[in-house]
Amino acid sequence: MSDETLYLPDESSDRPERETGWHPVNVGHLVMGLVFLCAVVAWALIQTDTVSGHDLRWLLPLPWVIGGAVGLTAAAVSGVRRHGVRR
Amino acid sequence: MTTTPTDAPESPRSDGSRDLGHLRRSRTDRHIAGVAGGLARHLDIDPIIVRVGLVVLVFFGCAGLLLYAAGWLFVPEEGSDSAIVRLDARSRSFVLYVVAALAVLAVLGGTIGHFDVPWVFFIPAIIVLVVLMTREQAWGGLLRMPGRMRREAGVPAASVAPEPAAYSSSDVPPTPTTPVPAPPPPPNPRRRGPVLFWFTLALIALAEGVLGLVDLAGASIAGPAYAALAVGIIGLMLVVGAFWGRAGGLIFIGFVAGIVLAGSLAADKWDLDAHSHTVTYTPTSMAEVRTDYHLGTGDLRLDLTRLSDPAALAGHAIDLSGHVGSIKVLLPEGIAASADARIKGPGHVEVFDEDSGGFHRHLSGAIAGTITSEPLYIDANLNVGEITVETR
Repeated sequence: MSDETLYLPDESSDRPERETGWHPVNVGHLVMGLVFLCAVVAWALIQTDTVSGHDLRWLLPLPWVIGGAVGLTAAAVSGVRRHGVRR
Repeated sequence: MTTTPTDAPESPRSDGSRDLGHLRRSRTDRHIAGVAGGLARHLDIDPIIVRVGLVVLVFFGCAGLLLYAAGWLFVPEEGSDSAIVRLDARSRSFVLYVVAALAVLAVLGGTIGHFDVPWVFFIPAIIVLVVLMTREQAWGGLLRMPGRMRREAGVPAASVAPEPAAYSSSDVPPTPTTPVPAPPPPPNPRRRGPVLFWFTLALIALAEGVLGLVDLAGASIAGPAYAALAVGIIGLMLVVGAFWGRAGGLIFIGFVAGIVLAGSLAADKWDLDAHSHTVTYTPTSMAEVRTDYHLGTGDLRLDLTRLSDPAALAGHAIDLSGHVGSIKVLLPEGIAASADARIKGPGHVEVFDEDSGGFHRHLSGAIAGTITSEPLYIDANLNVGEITVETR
């Protein structure tokens, strides 16, 4: 790690030595990913007749509630972390 | 944020700022002029959403074209403060807001309203404006070289002082500026790692192929399973991309797959054919002729050719309406009729051998009669589908 850093120019010495694919959580992608996954679960419940009749109406908002709740939590946690680093 | 035009050069993004004065066209993420890439970066959303949105808006009163052209003309490139038409940040914001308002007007006029924005009038006005401002540039006026040309000429981006003429009549006094190089655009920390879009597409293709093989092998696979598989993979890759890699574009194809899933599920579970049906009314006397006919989804047929006394239709008014499907009215020969047919969404209208197809169609027609002189009034409205009014 330190060997690589020595060959870097001064202005980029504060950058990580090797960029990885990990990044701060992208809340938009997280929310929509969960919404799509929950939609598939809802589809499976309908397709297998596990849920039918009037109970179907509960399945429609469920993906959005789950995605939104997790997204809000992720946004709050990452916001607190960024806030802490900056201050 | 109380910056003046003579402050330090604007960064493409400042924290929490959505001021259009800071909007810049992208140099790297561009297909034409970088407007969509710059807008997506400014709003911190996926560029494909902006691109699809602009393309869709082209079909609604050319609003997408208007927005793109305005962005091209008025928004500078990254690392530059000058656009093709040079304005200071506040004036640029104002112009862009006006253009956005015009675009909204165009969309409303093209969809729910019954008016069209007179682009025929605006386009020559815009051309004249650009030509006039280009001439002023040649005389050292309001325009100056775009950023790329200026850099090629070796002039630093921020070293061009604002022209006194541009501010001479305003209350903002021209202050000397120090040549400060424009800072490079800050990298988006969330755009890191490999692009997941093409990998996801390949994964979907592979998974769909495997599911198809399983289906062919004799396993009982429900029709919507194909779309559900795609939605599931996209959802999974989006969750992965939320933490690792770049999942841009996946939300859009996720929505497309989701719509396909909803449609195929509805068709599979509730059998749309059972709900859409053909209803035919064939009155034989005037007592059976109603003034209103309505059908939610399906085909509505009104056959007036079996009437024992077609002359009694003179002066009568009949309204027909539906949501999705078709409306067909058959009139007996020899009676005068006036028909007004309107489709709010996409569809086709045919009234007495005149026809029109497309979006938001409206057609009126009339025929003279030999049996009656006073016309029968037909008013047909449909959201999506086909309306036919004919004589037989």
